[in-house]
Amino acid sequence: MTLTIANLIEDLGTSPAAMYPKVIIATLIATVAVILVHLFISLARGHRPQRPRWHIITRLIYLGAIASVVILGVTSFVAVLRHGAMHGWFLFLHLFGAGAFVVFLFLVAVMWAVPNQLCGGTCAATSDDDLDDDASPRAPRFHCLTKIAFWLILLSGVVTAGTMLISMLPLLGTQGLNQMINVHRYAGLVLVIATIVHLYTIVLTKMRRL
Amino acid sequence: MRLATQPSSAPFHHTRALPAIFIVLVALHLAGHGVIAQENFKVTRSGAQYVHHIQLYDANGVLIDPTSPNAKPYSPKQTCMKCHDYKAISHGYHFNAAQRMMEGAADKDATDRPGEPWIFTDPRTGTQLPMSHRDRAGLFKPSDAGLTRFKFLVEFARQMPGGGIGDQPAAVAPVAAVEGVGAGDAAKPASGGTVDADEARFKFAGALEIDCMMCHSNSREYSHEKWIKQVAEQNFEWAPGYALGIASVKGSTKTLPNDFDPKAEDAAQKLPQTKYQVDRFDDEKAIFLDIIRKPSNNSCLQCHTTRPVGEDAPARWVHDGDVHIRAGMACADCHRNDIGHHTVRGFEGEKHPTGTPVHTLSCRGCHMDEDNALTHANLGGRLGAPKPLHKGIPPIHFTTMSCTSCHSGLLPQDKPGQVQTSMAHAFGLANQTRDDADLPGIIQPVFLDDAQGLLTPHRVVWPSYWAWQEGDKLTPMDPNEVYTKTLRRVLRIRSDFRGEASKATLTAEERKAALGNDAGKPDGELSVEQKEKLDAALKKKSVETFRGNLAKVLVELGKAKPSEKAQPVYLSGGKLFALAAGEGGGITSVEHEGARNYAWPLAHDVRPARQSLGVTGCTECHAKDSPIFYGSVTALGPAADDQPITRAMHEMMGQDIKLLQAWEQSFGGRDVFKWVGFVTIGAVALILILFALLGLNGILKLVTRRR
Repeated sequence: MTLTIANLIEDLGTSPAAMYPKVIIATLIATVAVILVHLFISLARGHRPQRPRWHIITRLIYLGAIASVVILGVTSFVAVLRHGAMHGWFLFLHLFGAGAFVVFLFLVAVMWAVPNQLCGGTCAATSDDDLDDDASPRAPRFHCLTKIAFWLILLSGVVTAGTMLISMLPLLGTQGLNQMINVHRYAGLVLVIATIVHLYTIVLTKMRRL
Repeated sequence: MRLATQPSSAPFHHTRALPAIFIVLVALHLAGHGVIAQENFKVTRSGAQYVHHIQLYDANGVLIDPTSPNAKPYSPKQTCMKCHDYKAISHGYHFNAAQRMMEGAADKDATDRPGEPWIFTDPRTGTQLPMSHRDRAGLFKPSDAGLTRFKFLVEFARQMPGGGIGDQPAAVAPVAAVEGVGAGDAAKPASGGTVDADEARFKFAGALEIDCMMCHSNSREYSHEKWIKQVAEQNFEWAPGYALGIASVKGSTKTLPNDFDPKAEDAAQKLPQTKYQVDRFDDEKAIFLDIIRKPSNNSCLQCHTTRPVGEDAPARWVHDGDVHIRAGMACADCHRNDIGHHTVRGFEGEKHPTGTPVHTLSCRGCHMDEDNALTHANLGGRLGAPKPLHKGIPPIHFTTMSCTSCHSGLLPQDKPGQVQTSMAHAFGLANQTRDDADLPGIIQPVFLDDAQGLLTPHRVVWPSYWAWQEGDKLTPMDPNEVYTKTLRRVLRIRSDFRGEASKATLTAEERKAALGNDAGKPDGELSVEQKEKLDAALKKKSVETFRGNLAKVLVELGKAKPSEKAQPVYLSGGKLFALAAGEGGGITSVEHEGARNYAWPLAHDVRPARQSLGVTGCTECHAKDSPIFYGSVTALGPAADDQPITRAMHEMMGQDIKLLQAWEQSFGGRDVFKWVGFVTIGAVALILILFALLGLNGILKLVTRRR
């Protein structure tokens, strides 16, 4: 077992591109498994306090961000898993989704950076605009897990988009570009996982299970 | 040092023989396992070039006395095999076309890819048949054109180094097998004779052995032109010595009848006579031959020259040639081989017959490392190959395109240009009648996917030939028969079917119809527009004339059908031309699979980075008028055709036009995309930094408060 993991890590280091499809499958399976376990526990724990509801614009921006990540994730994973690499329409749609993603990532960051602070003082709902009349102001707007996923989305989003933006400049050579693509791949995978977790926690929150 | 050895005549006592026998048995056993291969051959093991003062042997292995008036031509096989493994050499890529591809190879999974074919060209009949003994899709077999082993050599040995089907006795396969290799049919008799009759000519023409000196002579005296002339005279056995410049040859076997008996009493007088330059031999009948291990570029170019032709072809003095050669490299630096002469072809994914990894001898392997893996086996940089920067080029280009797409051949133009090659156009023989329009018509670059799915520039030729059509089946006719029985008799064609069958002049009425009142003007006084009108009218008439003549020929051919359902047809430029049904006659033409092009990847001449495709920016390719995607490929053939098959390059590639257009449009907003991307991602990065600092501040406060 130790040997297998060591080999896996070595393979990841030497040929990250070749290992990527396997890593995608393993990571997605692991994520779904963890979510299912967490869901089971959450459902068993009963209802939690209701958290502030979102403004319609907030919802639209969030949906836009989720949609763009879905486009990016589906186009890349399907292409990589089916064809080994991204080509043709998959690549074009990926690029198209990337344009939307950078804008939505910016909007999400501006909109939610403050309420997602991980320190105690700012964890409670802060804006009355965001609250329904019947919402309890004592319930923090986001669960801790949601916040962690949020910051992970921002961080991986910056790395994912940044690597490709830098690659568009005549700065890096072939080797540098290949390294950028590998970083892009794995940061993108982290982004997708973080987005799944974020969406999951948001749904749980809406169900008052988190 | 004499390399030729005579059997020892020293007494061999039986008591001494026992250990010797033991050693021999052990040696044989080891040799059987390939442990001490080539132990039968003398080797120096020195890195220094061996100086060849050697004796020469004739085809029967008899030492040549150069002073003898009946001296026989020297045999490279018998001379060189004293020290070199001729049998192993004969399996090499240059000699093994008629063998099973990898016979004698250690690695049976060795790979092949389409290569330049031999193109049987007969201008009298408008025939150009790309062919090979190798099993390659889209190529004809020599037997399809009525070429026996002998006739194939007479036709193409001008650019062959001998060996293979030229070796006699058949070193590679029986004649019938050679003729039928991959064709799935029995050998066909050549026109004007039979397979046996042609085979009989080897008895006095001699074998066309591998001429080692064609590649390994370092002497400028070696004349490829002399080789070509001897081959044309069917003096196969005499060609090596004459080309090497050590002997003069008088006479020809070409004129001898098939039943000539070389063992007859007076035969020697009728066979070619060899006269050696006796001054070059020493007292021991040895001669100095300036031999090099690594062939010079000049040797390679004798058979592998390519020359862009036509109006748009750059003048030769403007052309830089291959960057590797300019840098001082030799062809054989990359296209190298061992004693088995399995010359490395250098394409990506090549598996060498010896099993030796050769991936670092391909463009990518040498310049970019294999899989970016930092293991010494995969590291490139051989011979100091620079690692390309490719700054800002998305890596997807390197997984979908070959290096040659951007770096090889001439830059793509609106239309691929014509090119002539040594193998196809018989370069090397001084000739005053060479023309840019000489058949066969080959164009380059045409961008197509290679076997690995990488976009690669190709050279393309469309076959042209006369055939019998029965349903979907096409059986090529023997061009000689077509000419002698029909073209010469019906159309009085002399040498150029294409030109003579479509030759037309405008009548006074036709000239007037084209030029109106200016019809009387001399041609020199016509405007450009008027000349164009005149050319168009003449071209139209040429096409009509050609079709009329073609109909006459097809009618004549149809009188001697091999079967009731067989119909004579002519294929050219991707189309099949046949007689139209009904009394009206005329010609119909349709695109046909039987006239489909044959394409092979081109690799040279390689252009350096700053001369590569795309160096001026993305829109050099990703634009609506870029030659690489929108260049217009027109099928070439001898048939006069005013509506030739024309395809856009992206159609040839099988690219999705909508996707291409989408990419092109995306480049319109690429700068905006970059700006928006950098601003938004920059802002998010700042937010991350800000809140990271705030978080750090919070943690510090927490720690301070607890204390």
